Amino acid sequence: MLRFALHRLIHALSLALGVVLVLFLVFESGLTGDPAQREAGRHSSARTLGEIRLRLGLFESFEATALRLRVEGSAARYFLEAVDGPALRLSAADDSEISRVELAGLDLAALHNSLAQLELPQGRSLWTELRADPNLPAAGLASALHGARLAVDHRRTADLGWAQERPAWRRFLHQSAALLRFDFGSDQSGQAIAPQLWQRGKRSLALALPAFVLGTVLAVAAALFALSRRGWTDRSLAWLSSLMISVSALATILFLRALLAGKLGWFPVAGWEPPHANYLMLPILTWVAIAFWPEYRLYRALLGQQAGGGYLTAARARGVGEARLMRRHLLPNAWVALITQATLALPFLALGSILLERVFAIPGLGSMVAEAALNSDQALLRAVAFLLALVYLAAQWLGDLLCGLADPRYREARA
Amino acid sequence: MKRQPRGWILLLGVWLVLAVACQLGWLAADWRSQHDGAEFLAPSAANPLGTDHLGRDLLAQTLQGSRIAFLVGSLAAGAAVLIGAALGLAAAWYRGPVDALCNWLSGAVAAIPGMLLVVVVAALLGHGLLPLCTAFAVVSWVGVYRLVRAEARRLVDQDYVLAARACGAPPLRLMLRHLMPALRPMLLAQFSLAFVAAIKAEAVLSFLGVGLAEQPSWGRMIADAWALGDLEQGRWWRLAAASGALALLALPVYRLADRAHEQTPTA
Repeated sequence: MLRFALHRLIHALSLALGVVLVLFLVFESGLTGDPAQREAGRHSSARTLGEIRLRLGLFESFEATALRLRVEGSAARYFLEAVDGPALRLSAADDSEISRVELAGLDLAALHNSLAQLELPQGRSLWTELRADPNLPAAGLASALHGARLAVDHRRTADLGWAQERPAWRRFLHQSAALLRFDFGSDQSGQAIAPQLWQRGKRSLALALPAFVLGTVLAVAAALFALSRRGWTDRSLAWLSSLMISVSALATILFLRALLAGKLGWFPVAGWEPPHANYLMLPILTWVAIAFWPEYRLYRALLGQQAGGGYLTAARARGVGEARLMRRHLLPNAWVALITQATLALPFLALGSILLERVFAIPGLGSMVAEAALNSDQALLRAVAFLLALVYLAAQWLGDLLCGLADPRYREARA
Repeated sequence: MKRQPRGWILLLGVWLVLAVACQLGWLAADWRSQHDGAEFLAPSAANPLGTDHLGRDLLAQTLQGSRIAFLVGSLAAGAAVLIGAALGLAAAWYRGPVDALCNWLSGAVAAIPGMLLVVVVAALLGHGLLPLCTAFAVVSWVGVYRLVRAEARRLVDQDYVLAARACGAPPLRLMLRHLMPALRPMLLAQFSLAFVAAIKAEAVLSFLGVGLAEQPSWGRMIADAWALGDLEQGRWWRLAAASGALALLALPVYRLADRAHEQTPTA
């Protein structure tokens, strides 16, 4: 059993690495377009783009200024600073001021001239290069430089790159390491992601867990009922279920809400204030109404397969009653299939229902995903996807262990 | 002998004819025409399904929606089945590392909640028909892959395949001529289920704002109905038209799939 557990754990971990790779392919690899451009929107300056690239880890480094300076002939360090609002100050390493240029109202060409006139210590020459990036307006230069501390170095200009791109393989390693450390970084608004996931995940679970338990129990019960009755009960339930799953979940949600919350006024329409239970009842009810039918079909098919085994016929022939037949003969044999199905549904619970949370304005993970998708907040989406995948793999592992405990044949088949 | 499901096939045929007619511009070509002062009209003789917020006829939009539904459904489901079948056959045929790699990849994709991955990929790729179908296919090939792989592994060990191999048939020919015919019923069933799932996914994605924009799709209609508070104002017809049409297309597919399932002998 221990060997089996370890074997399945290694399997789950290898899949977790696979998830990291899939997420990298989806988000970072460029297969789906430039991530920074997507996040910044169409009309964004080079500076915004560069900063986003820096935040997303596409760049190792990025200089937000359009100014590059070099002091020739000296190993000593000088510092070029923007101080006192829009003014440039050249200082030596001991902070003594060497020279100063007012930046206010300058355009790029004028700035270039002013820098050329900077008074330098004897024997040194200042080499400046001004890059007029088409996306970076000259007028914005002064404010871009404000507060920036630029090292004026004697190194070659090539070392003072505007932006240093991080190669794909290092990006992948960097991202994977961050994800595996649960270091999710911050979202577009600069808030840390990890605490948000926890807080919102709890609300989603408050919606999803009762709905899931209720729906599953009802569905299994209905499937057992249909199996024991057979005949037209079974057929009409099959018919009804295919009718109900044909209707889009959206329509069910919107109509149920309009009827029960709007017209009849039994429930609040939407919102999230304590006591939260008031706001959860209708979403849970709606969830059950939607999820019951596909689950009924699933469990009816699963149990039907089990019932195909000859042992039920044999027991029935011995005169075992239908209720006892289901309870003592069918269910114990169906446990493995039922557990597998139930564990497979678990990760969806943490996500809540994106649709339900959106419609009923429940601030859970689902509505967060919906908003993040609209704003293409990639760090957030990646964090949610990775975390839920881990939950799924963990649930699958536990389900494997349970099945292994319940049925030794299962262990041998998968070891 | 069971009764042939003529009614459902006929209904699907009607939908197909409507979709093709819309594609060719024979039907509802003027769905864009707006009428000032005719916004939010209730169903009447002139507009059997009412009008939308721009005074456009909802019947025309619903009909055009069938065109979009068939496009989305067949493209997305086709891609998903193609990827799943190709990888499944490769995994079953070559076994060893190829099998392990395909299993690993499908396991990793399956670990991410499908709904979430569809939303993410669609959001990253942007609006439009192709991004939508890509997003769906990227997620849904896994189910097809698993079924095809399991069935193909069983078939590969059958005597007739062994005989064909012994005759020196090349792998591709073997897969296409000897394995595919046996897999076809299953692939057809998977395609039809994915077809409906893709149409439903379109509705969800459009509702979340990452699906189709400026298209007369049913999902778009539902999204508009929600965004403009149709039901709160007592205007049920747009939502009813779109979701009713979707259900009328989905129901025959499900019924036919059920029937096919009942008729296949369970192994």
